[in-house]
Amino acid sequence: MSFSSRVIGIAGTAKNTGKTTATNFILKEMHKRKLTPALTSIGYDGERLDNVTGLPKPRVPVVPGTLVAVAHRCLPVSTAQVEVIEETGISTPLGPVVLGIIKKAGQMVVAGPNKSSSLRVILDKLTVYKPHLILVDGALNRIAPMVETQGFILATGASRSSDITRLAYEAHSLDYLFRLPLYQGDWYNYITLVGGDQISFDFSSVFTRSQVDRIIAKFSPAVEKIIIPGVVREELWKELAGVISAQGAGVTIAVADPIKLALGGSVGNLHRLFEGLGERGVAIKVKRPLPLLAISVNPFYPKYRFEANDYHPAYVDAERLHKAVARAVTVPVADVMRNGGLLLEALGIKE
Amino acid sequence: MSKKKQVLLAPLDPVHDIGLKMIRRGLEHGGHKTHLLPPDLPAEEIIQEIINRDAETVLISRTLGYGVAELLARFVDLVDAAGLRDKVTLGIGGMAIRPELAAELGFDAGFGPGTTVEEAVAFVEGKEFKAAKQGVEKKKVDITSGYSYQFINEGLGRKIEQVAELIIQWAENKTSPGVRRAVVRDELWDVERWRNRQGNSEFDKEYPQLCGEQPRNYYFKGELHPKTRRFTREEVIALEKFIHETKPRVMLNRLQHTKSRPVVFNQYGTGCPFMDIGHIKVSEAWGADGVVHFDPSWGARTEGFFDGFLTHQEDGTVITPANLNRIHGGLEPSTLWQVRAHRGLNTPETVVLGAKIGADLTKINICYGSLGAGTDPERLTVDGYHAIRYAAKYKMPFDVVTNEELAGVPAHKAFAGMLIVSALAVKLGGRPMLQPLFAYSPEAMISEQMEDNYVDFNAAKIYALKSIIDAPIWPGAPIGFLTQTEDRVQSSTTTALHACLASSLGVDAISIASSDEAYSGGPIAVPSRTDTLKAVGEGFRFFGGTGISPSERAKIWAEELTESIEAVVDQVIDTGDFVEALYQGVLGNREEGAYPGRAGKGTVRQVES
Repeated sequence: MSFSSRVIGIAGTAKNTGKTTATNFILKEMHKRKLTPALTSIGYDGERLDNVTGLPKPRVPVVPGTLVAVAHRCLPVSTAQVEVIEETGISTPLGPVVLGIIKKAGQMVVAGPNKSSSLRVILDKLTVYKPHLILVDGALNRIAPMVETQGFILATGASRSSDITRLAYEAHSLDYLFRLPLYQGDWYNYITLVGGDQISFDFSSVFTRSQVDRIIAKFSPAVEKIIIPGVVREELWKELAGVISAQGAGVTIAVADPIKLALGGSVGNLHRLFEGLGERGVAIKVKRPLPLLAISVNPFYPKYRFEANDYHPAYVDAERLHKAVARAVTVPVADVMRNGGLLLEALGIKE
Repeated sequence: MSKKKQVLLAPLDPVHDIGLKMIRRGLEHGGHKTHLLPPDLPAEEIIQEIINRDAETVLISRTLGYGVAELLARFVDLVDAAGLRDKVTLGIGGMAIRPELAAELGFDAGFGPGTTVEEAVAFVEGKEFKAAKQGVEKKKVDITSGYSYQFINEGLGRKIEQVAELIIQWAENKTSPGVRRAVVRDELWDVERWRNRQGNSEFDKEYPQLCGEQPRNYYFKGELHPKTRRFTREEVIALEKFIHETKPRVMLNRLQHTKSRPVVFNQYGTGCPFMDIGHIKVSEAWGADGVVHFDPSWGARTEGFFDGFLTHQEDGTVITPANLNRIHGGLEPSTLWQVRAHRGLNTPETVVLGAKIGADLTKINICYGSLGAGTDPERLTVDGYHAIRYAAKYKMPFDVVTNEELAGVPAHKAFAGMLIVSALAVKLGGRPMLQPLFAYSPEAMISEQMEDNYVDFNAAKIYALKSIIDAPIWPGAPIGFLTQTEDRVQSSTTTALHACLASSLGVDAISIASSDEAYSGGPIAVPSRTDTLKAVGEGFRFFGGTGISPSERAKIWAEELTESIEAVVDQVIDTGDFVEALYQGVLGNREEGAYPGRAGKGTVRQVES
């Protein structure tokens, strides 16, 4: 993959974890180095005030030459001047997505495609214009469309939880899930038990107990691999794990990508569960790995005041937060306000 | 006919699923198959339902709080990760939902408060989703249509018409500086030439000669009235920008619920046309059907108008062609615009100027203007007569206001004057509207007709007028005045209650005041303007087509009122001269707070033939 088509996602564990701050930092640093960024979002970013808390939010400043893929209704509310270069026909609640190039610097409100398949189309279209980097700004805690990127930065922080120990452990678990080994082998679009009498079920995700029961009923010592193309709900993972670990070593669980794993429920619980399986010789692998490139941490959080029924800005200890998360993961951890350079390194952006 | 859809309705709130149930009815009406899920299902179970039922659309309702956005976003993520996102369309509705939030959450559409069932159905049917166009389509209403202006009380009607005839005979060969300016404005002033800055040379030569000292100094020496200044270039640019940016965003609303009347007017007159336009836009957006231009009190005592785009007046916005023209440019096409001509030395010219610039309505009452507003009765009778003729010529209906009641003149005297002027108007081809005071009047305070309630005496006034003549009624001005205190909730409530009483009595229009109108001590605030508009809308919603029942006393008072009106008209006839009757206090005397005005005294001339 050439550098010119590199697609980086910026996802968050919650609202206000610093996605936009990280995005702005990368845009600014790319501009300094005369590199051309392209920007889109799976959400809505750049508004003055948070849609829920009413607190001020960072907006997205852009400079001439930057490529954007944004919903039509972002154009009149942005102070940046955008020349539309392509209509994509992809619709969003804020109108169809257009590709544009910034003509006059200003603030940009960025809302883009809302689902993976649409994001894929947009990314293909942006690639044609050969930006150095395509940044996909996330929304809230949404990560599903990040599957279309080639790696992502995860923003976490006090807005997710003001308990630093909990945040660090969650980061640790995410780091684990996104480093699971690659699965190379047969693939099926439905849940399939490979080995013995191979069985494919008529569902790809496991959302109900009866689905687990059907899988367990067909599970036998002959099963070598379980192919899971969809999502498994956390408590159903536990049921499955019980049966699989009783079976013992040698079984491989192949999942589509780490995002589908992470969406099953609490990543901490899933991490513990899979580690337990690993100790019993059960391998968890992913068909399509998605590299977690770096983590950015943000001490800010909107604190709810019961007496006033509103939110006001609050902060946890930035130093402690950074250290705790950095110790818990294998990837670089940056607080953009303090050591953002680490993010650039993780993206391969050099001085 | 679009394809029938499988729709899942998922309330994520234990209680807030009424909206979904309403939408469900609309969808089933359209032949779609719906499944209303139990409230508060986990995301995974909703997704399993999507799979089981092969659903094509999911509509979720949820009230937003912190953490809820993440919950909804995870739902969308799961749908995506489960490979269903391209098969199913997702909509979200709820109190705090807007399109921006729907985009952030990853939904295909967001439905906020005010979303109609039709919009939700259109979304399900995959018709191009346009962000719900809120607001309503409005058209200008002719308040006077359908009225015959026939006297129902024929005996009283004949007497009133007799007085009207007296006025015509007395006035038709008389003129005044005010009338002469109106003639010049009517014959020599071409509004299009003026708008295009092409000048009206004959007018420019004649007009200043007919003005008083201050306007003359303006035309000859460029001196402005001491209380005004011109807008700066920057301010004009800012105003144009404001109008350009605001107009496309204004969504009109309606205050009336199932009835179409009364039409609701709001007044403006901050002294600054820029601020006025802002207030007008707010009035329109919050449901007012019309706005009334208030000019400063000195304007009534000044012979002639200034021109120029002027601001900084203290009690009302100066009438100049440029001011009116700018304000007219800020109006929505459906907004009725009243420029008041009723009381001063420029009465006939105001009608002509207003009409040429685009006003829909005006206001004329010889009696109020010469007893409660300071203009000499002789002068205002001549000017009023000609003002009415111009209103007829330009097809401008006008209300005949009875605000002399606020000074203390009893209703029957004010009404006698109002009916005389209305009869005069009908004879001259005009379309008058009766404007009884609909408020806690000094008369009621003294004579205690409102000791128990505000309903009976106000109702009596409407009953009396309806028993006398078939004409439109527009209580004001404003309704509920003198019941308002500096408490905004109190002011809004009492305004709304008066509006509902007016609606119940079947009147055609009302004028309402802002909740701080009586106590602002300066320009009123926009929030207080929206207070009363909101309150009136809620009141209309509350009562709908039902009404308020006045007690028997209302009918008794109505009869007494009618008899007293007749006695006043008899007295005018006995005087043999309407103008003399005004001077003598037949239609309101000094003791009652009515002083014949002095402005323009001695300026009436016989027309030389």
